[in-house]
Amino acid sequence: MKNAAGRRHSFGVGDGVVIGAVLLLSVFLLLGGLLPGEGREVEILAKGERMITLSLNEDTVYSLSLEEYHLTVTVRDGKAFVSETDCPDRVCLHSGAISRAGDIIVCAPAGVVLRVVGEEGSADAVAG
Amino acid sequence: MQLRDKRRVVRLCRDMALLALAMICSYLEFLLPIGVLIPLPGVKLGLANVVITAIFFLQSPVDAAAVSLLRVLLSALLFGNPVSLLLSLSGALFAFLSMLAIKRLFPRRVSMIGVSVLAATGHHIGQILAAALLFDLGVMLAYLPLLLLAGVLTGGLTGLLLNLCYDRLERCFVLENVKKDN
Repeated sequence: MKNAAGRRHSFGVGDGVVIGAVLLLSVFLLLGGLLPGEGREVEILAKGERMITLSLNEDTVYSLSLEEYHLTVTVRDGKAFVSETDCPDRVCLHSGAISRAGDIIVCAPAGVVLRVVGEEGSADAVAG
Repeated sequence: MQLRDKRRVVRLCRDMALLALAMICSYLEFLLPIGVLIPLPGVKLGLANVVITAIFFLQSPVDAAAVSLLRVLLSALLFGNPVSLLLSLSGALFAFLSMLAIKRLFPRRVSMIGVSVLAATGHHIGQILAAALLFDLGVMLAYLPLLLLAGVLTGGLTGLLLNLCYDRLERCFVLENVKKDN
């Protein structure tokens, strides 16, 4: 269906092309991100600065106190997750546990990123 | 009052009423915990963008840019923080540029679904670039494909909504213009 100005407003070929292009781009990026294997360590970055690197092989609990917010990161069974936070949106709590190289959890309000790093020579070393 | 002035007043009032509508949409999303369904930071349904996109195509890109900028600033003041302001600003800019590109390049081939999907992914790319300044580009690039997939979903939904009500919305805008000419 077209209106007076000739603009389509039902799903058409052009929409398919746009969606296809975006899907293609994301698959391409995903394949690039899947190359690194199982991660061994999780890095905690606050406002871009590396705070600490925790090994995923041993269970630990690490608490961070930032200017405004507090975060507790737990490593258990080779996986890392945010177990406690007082930041407002709690997205990082809902993000689940990460274990593969390149996996990340972001806590935007606190400016904290958890990321799993793999062995040397993986894509992560290039990106870092 | 001159006709030209009348038109300006009508346009200003309508834009500001739509700004209020967009703010309500933002607030509605703030209440709607989509983060539980799709636990990715930065993913929202984008209801406010329905309003912005409608203004973009039915009024003018300039009006859409103004309303979008005001909405981002007001949202940041009401619900956000400096980090979220930077991310939203960059996202809104890239979403605007993608809509501008589609308007220039394929105005008749792509419906509101394509426009919304492109705007949503543009928004996410803008967010990622801003986040790369704050965090780390490698991390953010790894995150981008997930956001893009989410953008296809949320953009598709808002685009469908726009497709469905485009005719009615257009009648609203056009009617006002006709009245002004009398």
